[in-house]
Amino acid sequence: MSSSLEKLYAAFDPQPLRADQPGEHRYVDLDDVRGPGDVVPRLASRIRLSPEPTCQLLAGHRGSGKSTELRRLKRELETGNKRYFVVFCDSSRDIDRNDVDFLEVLTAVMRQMAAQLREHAQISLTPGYFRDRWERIWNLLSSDVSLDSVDLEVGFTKISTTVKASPDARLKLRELIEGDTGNWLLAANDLIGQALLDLNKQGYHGLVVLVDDLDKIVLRPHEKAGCSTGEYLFIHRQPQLSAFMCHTVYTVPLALAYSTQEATLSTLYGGNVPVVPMVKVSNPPPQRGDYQPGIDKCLQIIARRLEDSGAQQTDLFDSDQTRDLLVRLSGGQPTELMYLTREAMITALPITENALKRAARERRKAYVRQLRTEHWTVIDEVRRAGQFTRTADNDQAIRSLLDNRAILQYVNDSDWYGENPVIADLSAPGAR
Amino acid sequence: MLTLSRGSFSLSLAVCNSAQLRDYLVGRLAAEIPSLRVVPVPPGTTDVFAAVRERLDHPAPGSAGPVCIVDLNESLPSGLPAHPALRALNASRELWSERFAAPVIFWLPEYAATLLYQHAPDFWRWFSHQFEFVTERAEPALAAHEIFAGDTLLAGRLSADQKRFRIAELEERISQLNTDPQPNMYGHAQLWLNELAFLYLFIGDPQAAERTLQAALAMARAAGDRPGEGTALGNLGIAYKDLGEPRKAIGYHEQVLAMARAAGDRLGEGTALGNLGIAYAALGELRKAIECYEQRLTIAREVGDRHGEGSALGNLGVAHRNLGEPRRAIEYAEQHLAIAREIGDHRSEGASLGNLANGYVDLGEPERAIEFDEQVLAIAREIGDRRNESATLGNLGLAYAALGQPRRAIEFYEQHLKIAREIGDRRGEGNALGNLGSAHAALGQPKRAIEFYEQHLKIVREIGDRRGEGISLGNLGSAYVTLGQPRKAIEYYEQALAITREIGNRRGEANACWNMGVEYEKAGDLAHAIELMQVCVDYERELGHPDAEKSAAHVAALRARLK
Repeated sequence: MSSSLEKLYAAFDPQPLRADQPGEHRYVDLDDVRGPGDVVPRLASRIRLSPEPTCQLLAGHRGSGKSTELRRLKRELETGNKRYFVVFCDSSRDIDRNDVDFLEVLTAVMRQMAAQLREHAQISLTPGYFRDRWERIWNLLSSDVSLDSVDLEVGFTKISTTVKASPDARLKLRELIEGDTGNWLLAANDLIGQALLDLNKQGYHGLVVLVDDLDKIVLRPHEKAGCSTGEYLFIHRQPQLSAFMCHTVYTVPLALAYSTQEATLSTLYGGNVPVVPMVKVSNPPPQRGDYQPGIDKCLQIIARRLEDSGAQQTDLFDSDQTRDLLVRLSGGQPTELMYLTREAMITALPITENALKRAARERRKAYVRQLRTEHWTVIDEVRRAGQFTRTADNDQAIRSLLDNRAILQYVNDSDWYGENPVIADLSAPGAR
Repeated sequence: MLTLSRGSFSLSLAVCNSAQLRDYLVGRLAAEIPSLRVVPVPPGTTDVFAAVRERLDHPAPGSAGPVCIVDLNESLPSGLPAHPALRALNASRELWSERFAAPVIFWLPEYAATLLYQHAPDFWRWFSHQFEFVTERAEPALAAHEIFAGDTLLAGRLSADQKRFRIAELEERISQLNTDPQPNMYGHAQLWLNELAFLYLFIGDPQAAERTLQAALAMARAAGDRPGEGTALGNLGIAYKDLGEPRKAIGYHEQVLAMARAAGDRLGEGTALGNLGIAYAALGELRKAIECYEQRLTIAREVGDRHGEGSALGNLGVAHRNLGEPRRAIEYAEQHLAIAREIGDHRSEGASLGNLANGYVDLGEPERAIEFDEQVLAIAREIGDRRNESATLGNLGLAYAALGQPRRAIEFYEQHLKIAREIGDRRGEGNALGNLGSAHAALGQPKRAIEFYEQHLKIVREIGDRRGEGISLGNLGSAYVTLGQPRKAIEYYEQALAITREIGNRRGEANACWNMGVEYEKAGDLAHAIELMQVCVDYERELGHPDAEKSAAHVAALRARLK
């Protein structure tokens, strides 16, 4: 039994599916139950149609399958008669999500671009003009780093370590680079140009950088900029983010894409920000109730994972009712589906309704602590109408509700919102 | 002159803005002429003649040595409408020739000389000799703001060797592009071509730069890329201005201006106007330049382009400085500085501080200039702008020269020369050599001066800088004057004049004419001298330069002598 638990636990891994790795058969196309998302084709065709570099955003709830969609985009661009070299930049390795600025994005992009070009296209980038900038910052930081034979990856790893190691060094570095970003970008673009020249010779049609995980930055007021950290990075830093002379796609927090800055973002990034929505598992008010096609897709996800582990449904769930409850509680978030399953299976296998409810209560505790009166006003309206009204002072509340997934966004025939099922039986303190 | 006129009265004016330099020069004279006496005018004096006579009669009257009168400016606070001391001086002019059978030299800073001319015109006319010790500061590279696409701090910082490698790398990339052009390379190709052109100019290969920019232009036209076309044309304009051919530069900038206007691109219009103004200034057409800068300022304010606003103010300052209005130049530089600091633009901050330094040198306050130059140096070192660092070392040298410390100045020029050679900055190398020449001339070593000037001349000819060639020939002329070879001097002045006329540099033309006129005047050929000096007078009057009437008075005096 214990080996079966291990296999099941492994099969319900909430990590994004990678198009280029085993386990890809677990992928279930969710486009028709997500609504007219068709996110990957939209992103891909803008890249394919434009000879000029494009810079696009991709939004979505955490756990909605954004990373999986980005990996699909990668595979889509790597095949076909117009083949692109795609750098998948997992920014969490270089970035402290509590505190992100352009320096960290640049570091992540350059480091991983160099590594992936070397590994998959046998192109080795020299440090070029970066060498000069590095020398300057190490001199000014009075660091005794020897730069004699530093290559591009090593140099940026050194910056990444310095930035992550000490907040003081981070601030100092940023200060040094502020006002000099033009030169850093110039150095980056010079290398990108050289890489493109070599990629063209290998028959590639261009270079695309996908920056994942930037949506996970912690949204809070920015100390200096007088706006949220998200607005700072994606709006104030847009001129830098979109200055790489290759195609780029960044993931952006959904809460930002649906804030009052929505119009600004679509102006800055050339069109509406595509959103990876939740799978619709229930109907919006006033109709309510299960939405069967969505439930079926989620069941399909579960079935694929079970197949993968070699187990039967009866090994995992004590009944179909328990299984369906899991789907409803997930609110159509694939990652949440995995988390809840794992949480519940820790107690005992097969999962019982009670175990599942206990798991849901654990998830709920986090919300109870966070929700304030201003949040409840919005939640009540979402429960009633599937929508919320923006007022002059609830932008922050809506942003944090979307950010922590207390309310979920669905895009089907039209946009609507639902509360997270795990808080369904909660209400505002004193309201009852 | 002093030895010639020993024993008979003559009245001379020596214009020198720096008290230190004045003391140095007076000290040198005193070492050569033991009978020379120096008379400081006590502050607040009204009757200058009485004060000087009083000092010379005690303890013992009667020495017939030359007299240097200093510190008269202490009694002439600037900004006052009336100057009783000057009125008294004007009335006392007969007394001077009666009392002194020796040369009398008034040492004054430039502004005081202007006051003297305005308030004591009769006295002024008696001056038979006029010496200018106003150090001509090399126009620092950062004074005027042009945006050469491709002029990156990074490319400029490479060592001379690294620049050659970078050029080879860019040439290689571009040749690969030409064999198999891909649409996704277009933007990169434009960047590379413009950077390559910048590097060619930097190392002194203007023909290659022009060829490269023409390629960028053709590529932009083929792609229907109007902004890229504008960039290439604008860079061609800047390149030709650097080559000392401002007329060609104007042609290119006007094309860019017309394109920007047709496209309704206000930002591009502003940039083009700024560059056009700089090209007009290089022609010596300062009024036209100012018109362009003012239009640029209006547009920048209209579209909220703070950088453009700062650059327009900075250039207005430079133009007014060249019009002989240092106070206004300082005001503009201060406005420019405020904007540069506000938008956190370190390069512009350095440029505006450099312009402030220039203004204070003109005002005769080299100590303050040094303070500003040192700030510029710190910024240049902080942002790693080696070209600006070396140019600023050159400016510090000029400021120390104005302080009367030519040896200290030489130390700075040598540092300037060293860095310029390290980074392969041929123009900077030439400037440093020219300044070294002038410093040795000031040390009374005309032969050494000529050696440096000849090296300067060789470089400007190599890099095809016609304007620089004119300046260098003029300097050689002046050095031969000091060597006592007026014929050779005139030969060089003639060559300088021909070049300034050919490229349309009216300021240079006026200077060359004046200097040549002085030689003809010494040789007694007054008619020729008048004809030449009149060119300078006309130019200065047209500009409304404060020197205009002073020069005109000199020419008038010559006319009177001719009759």
